[in-house]
Amino acid sequence: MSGRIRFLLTVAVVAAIAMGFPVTGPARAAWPERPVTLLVGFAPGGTMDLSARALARATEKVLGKPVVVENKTGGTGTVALAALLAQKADGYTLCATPSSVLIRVSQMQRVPFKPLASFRPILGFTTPQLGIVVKQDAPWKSLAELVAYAKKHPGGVKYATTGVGSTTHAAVEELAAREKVRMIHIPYKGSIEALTALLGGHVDFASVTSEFIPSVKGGQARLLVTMGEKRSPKFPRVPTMKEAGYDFTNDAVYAVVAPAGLPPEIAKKIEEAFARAVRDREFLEALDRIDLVPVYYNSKAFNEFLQAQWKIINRHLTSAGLIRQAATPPE
Amino acid sequence: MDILNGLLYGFSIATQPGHLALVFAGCLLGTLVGVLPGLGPVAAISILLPLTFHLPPAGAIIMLAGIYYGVMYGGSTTSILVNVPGETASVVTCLDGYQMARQGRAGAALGIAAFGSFIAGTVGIVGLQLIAGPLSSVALKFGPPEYFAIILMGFTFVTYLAPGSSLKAGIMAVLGLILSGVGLDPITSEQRMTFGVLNLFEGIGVAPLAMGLFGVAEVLNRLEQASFGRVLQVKIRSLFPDRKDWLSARWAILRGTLIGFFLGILPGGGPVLSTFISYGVEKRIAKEPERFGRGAIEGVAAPEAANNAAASTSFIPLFTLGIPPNVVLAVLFGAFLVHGIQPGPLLIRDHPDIFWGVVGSMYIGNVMLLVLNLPLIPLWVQVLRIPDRILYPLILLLCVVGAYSINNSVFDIGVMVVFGVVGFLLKRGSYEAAPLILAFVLGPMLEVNLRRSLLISGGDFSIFFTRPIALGAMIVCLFLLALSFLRAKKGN
Repeated sequence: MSGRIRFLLTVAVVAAIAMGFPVTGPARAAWPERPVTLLVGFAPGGTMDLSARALARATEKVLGKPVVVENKTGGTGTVALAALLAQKADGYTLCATPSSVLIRVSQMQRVPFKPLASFRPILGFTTPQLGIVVKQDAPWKSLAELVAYAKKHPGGVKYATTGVGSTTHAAVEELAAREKVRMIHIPYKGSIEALTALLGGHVDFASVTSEFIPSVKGGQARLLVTMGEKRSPKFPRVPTMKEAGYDFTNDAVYAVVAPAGLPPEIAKKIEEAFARAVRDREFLEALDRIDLVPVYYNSKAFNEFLQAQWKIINRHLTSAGLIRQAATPPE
Repeated sequence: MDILNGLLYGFSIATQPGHLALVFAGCLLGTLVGVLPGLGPVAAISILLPLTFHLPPAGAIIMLAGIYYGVMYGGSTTSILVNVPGETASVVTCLDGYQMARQGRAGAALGIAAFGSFIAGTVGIVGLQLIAGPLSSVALKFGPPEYFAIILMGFTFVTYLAPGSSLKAGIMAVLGLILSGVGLDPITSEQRMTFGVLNLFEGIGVAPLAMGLFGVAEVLNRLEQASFGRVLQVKIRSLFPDRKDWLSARWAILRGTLIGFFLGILPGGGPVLSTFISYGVEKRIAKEPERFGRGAIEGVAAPEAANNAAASTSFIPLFTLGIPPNVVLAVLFGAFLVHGIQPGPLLIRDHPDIFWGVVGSMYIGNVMLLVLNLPLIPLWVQVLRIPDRILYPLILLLCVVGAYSINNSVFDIGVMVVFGVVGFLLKRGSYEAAPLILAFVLGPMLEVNLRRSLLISGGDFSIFFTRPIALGAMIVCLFLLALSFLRAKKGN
């Protein structure tokens, strides 16, 4: 092979490789010049992941630039938030997170960020449906039957949730505190993992987000209770936690946050883009498929929501004796 | 829909001209990704995912699946000719493949890898098609104790079967395990070994680590060699393995296929683990195990068969339970969802076009890969035969760009460089990097399953010895440990 052909081949290879990678450059006000990464702290296939992906697609249409979802699981969603802070505050890395990670998880665990100061909220966009499911062949037809069994067998009932301090965990803690039952908590990284453990018979029940829909509709699992203000339109016969006699409604809102140092002019562009994206028809259809209710909090409203939630949940957790004080200082 | 009708339906979808073109594109891209070191299927599928948004769902999944199994074919070429794994599932192929190439048997090595891949891949698809449902209910029975015991067995296999000293391999596995602990605790979010460095909160990235240990370290290693020669100059006489090759490789292909077949279905198994285990099995049962590492054809045939079988069967839990069993399928899972399809028990019923279309396209893709790749190997060889002074800076450049582009993080480049130097030093002390990487990847799974098991049992370790599957895996572990002690004693 002659030198020239070899040279040309090399050039061709370099060019082919170079085209495979996104072109990156320093952040300028002309956001977005390159793909935006949206971090997600829970496993693919979960409602957080699915709704973030739907939102990313809708935002792409607005921006004309790819919005790439990247799952960084672990620590009940805190790993992704920590990962966000490791990136430049240039608007090219954002994080989709349930508000509960900033509120509940941060009070139950010492997390490596200041939940109310390290981030700039962009928007809150949906609220998940939560529920308690058991296997189809389990003997319990209602939550009351399950609770009665758990009372008779202290420490004999195992349950899966989406992580320590998550809203799904909090619901069971609430129930356990009220009924004074002792059950064993097995934390998983997301609802799909928790459901798999349930279907495999490794836990007795699972407190999870609406990923249970295919399993319940497919006749493998039975839904005992949901945790919304009202009954889910998809499961009108299933009572809510409130109807079952427990003072618990899901208070988590799925949101997008940026690092706190985001330049205001970029923040404005991002907020406008997402505000348009949440009106996208395909986005709304995607939410409906997984039983998520669309809501909209702008940056300011979501910030106020977080401040208020912090106090409410703190009072709740301390009065229930679950914590003495918040494990992480908020600011 | 019965299986025969389903298959015919699948072929009718896969042979639509548009879909055929997508199968072809997926296979070709997959092979290129497999050939190029430092760029793996996860990165490739993630980068290409946005391109599929405008395709109909069946077409998009068909193409992305093609990349996945195409990579399994392409990876062996680089392993055999350059001694750098094109991607992780081809790490063990380096051991004997490169030695074969040095002995002038590159053609036979490449040929047996391709034919072995084809046979195993096809067997895997037959399995996917026939037993998707029943088999995955077995995998579902695996709880935390079973996972823990099986991953531990994987660790033991990897140290026991590693070339050279088991002690050194064990040290590497433990080092990998320790490195995997860096970052936030997966359950309680406490910081571990982060030294307050924000970039370490999410742990060390597997891609920069692997690129450092395999890519950069290899380049440094070459720099040290006196002759600044080219990447292995080989004459490929024939890509068809001769009768003798077939005779010695046929059972290896079969065993590799079986191992890959089952490990593919097992969540957390997948192509990479299957290559390590099938290589180990071959070495164990060989009459002259000392041939391994010196150009044994079984050492190429078995792992290459295993990774293709595993690539095919890893679709089983995804299609029937909606559970991605490994990281590539987790990305692919995202692709399903982007297209509004929920993988799960209802997938085959509600979206027969996807399930049967993908099955049909995989048959076609495997034939394409075999027919195209054998003639194309000379082209890949040309790609790889670029002179050292250009190739090595190019590999470095690729690694730097690759490490950076995953998170747009300069820190990751630093991680890669540090582990490049570490890998170089390890190599000089004849410590193998492969057990380190495997332990690094499996470490977090080992940890959470250990902790979940102990939560279930209330801190009682007997849980690993009272459940049949876990007990079986534990016995294998102890047996292997005992064997390696005996071996070490004999050595002295």
